[in-house]
Amino acid sequence: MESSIRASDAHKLRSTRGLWRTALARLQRDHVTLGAISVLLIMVALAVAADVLSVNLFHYRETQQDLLDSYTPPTLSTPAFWLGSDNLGRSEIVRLLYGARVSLAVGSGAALINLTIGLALGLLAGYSRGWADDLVQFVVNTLLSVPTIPLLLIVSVLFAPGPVALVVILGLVRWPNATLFARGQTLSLGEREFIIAGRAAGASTLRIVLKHVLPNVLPFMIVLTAIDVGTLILVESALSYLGLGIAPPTPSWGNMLTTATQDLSRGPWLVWAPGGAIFLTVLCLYLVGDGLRDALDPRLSRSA
Amino acid sequence: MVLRLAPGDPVLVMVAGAQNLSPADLQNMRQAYGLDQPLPVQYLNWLKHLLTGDFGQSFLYHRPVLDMIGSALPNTLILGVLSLIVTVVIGVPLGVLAARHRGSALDQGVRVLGAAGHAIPDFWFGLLFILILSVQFRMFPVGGMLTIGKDNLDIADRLAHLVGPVLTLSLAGIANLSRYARTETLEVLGQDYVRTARAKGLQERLVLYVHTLRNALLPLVTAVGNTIAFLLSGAVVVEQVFAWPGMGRMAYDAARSKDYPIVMGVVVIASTMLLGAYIVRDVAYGVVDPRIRRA
Repeated sequence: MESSIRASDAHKLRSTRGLWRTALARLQRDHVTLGAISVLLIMVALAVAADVLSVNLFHYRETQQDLLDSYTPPTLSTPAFWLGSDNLGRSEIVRLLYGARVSLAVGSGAALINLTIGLALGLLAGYSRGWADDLVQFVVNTLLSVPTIPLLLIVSVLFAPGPVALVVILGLVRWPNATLFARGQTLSLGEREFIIAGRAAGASTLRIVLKHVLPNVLPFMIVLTAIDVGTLILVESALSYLGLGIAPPTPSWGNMLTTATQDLSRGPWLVWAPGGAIFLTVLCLYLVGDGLRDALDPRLSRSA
Repeated sequence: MVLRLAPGDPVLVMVAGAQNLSPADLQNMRQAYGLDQPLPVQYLNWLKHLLTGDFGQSFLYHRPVLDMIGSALPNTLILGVLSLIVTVVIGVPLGVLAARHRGSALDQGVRVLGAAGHAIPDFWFGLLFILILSVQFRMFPVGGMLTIGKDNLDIADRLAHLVGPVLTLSLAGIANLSRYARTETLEVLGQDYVRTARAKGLQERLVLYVHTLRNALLPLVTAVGNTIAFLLSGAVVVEQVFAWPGMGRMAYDAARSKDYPIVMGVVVIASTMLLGAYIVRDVAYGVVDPRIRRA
């Protein structure tokens, strides 16, 4: 008995370690995913370095205006106007860097809240079943029956959120999907031999959930989170574009596009940069999520 | 299965309670609209009236909310229904063809489209559409439903106004649905009975259209149902970009001017429509897949 428990534990440990190691090996051959990861890392680096770059390279602050230079087309001669300037003569490229901060921070912050709530409730519902499961399912289905953007519309207008509040709001509105996913994974794991063996051996529920179920659910939740960050960046930028998210003068990619729409014919370049930045970021996150999933579970592979 | 989805309203309960929390609103309109009463009472009043079909009056326009929604809803429905049709008509065949010609240039193209369509912000796509096709090439109108001064029944003019919004609204759905259709078709193509069909010498065409598609498209019913939720959310943004006088835009304008009865009314109607779509989806699934009915 004793040895069989250890054997099953050892088997599980080996399989998780093996999971990550083989996944890493597969990733190294996946050039698309590696490329997407590099682009994202560069973006994070640029966002972090926004202060240094704006002071030393561009000599322009993100809210600095110069009405004489409004609607300057992109030019190579002045670093600050590499991407042109907007209606108030602000540097588009500097604002883009600061916008990256907002988008990346809001997206990943909210996704982290999603992940945490989703994982906690999903494990609870999926493992305990019974009334806790019913309750969680009830709340999840209720929330899912209200269209997201109209719901956020109400919430945003009510609270006129700053960046931090926006993170919390997005996190609180979008957790049901993560919960459903974690619940499904937990539910199917609950029937597996090593879980039943653990239970038979008298391991406490908490121990089984934390030591055996969680490590097996987590990798897939991480994949989900990578894609979720992208989706949240889309939602944040849409809200900011509508004037309900990040409020000016704090630059965000969404509200930069609002500025761009004020005069499409005078500053068409203002439409390209922020939208392109959103597109590229979300695309890379999506590719990374896709690549990670393939690496973790080749059966789901894109080309299979 | 259907009943599980029914409790859509408790959320509206929470939202409704929360929405009146705004201090600005309480100060401005407290007295005139009975907003000085405690929130639960207000909410119950609102709910009581709602149950009798009374959505209340707009704070701003002093018109019944239901009338206002009634005039905006058809515009949103035109947009939504057309987008849904475009999504299904383009998305599903693309996915099936990609699976059929796996690894081909078409397959690669569909995969790129799937990723790109997911990642492109819908409002940015709309802006690019306006910037390139409307402002620079003047091929399409920049927004609205029809050109001012033109005949109400000028079909060509109306269609020209629809191209941008419908395309923008459909894009994410096409990406999503084609990806889904591809996966499902590939799944079924790997089944034993497909191998049997091929082994007995059936034409590939028959294998695909008779044996594979019927099974592969079953789960797509669910995906199409989910697309509707997508469209309802997307409508708010797209209607704003193209100045489309629909329900989403009305809710947005109302939200900005804190005209709560309208916002609440729109959310109730939108959620009801979504629940209706879910019910239709579940029933349709039972119809196309008899195995589900027993469950």
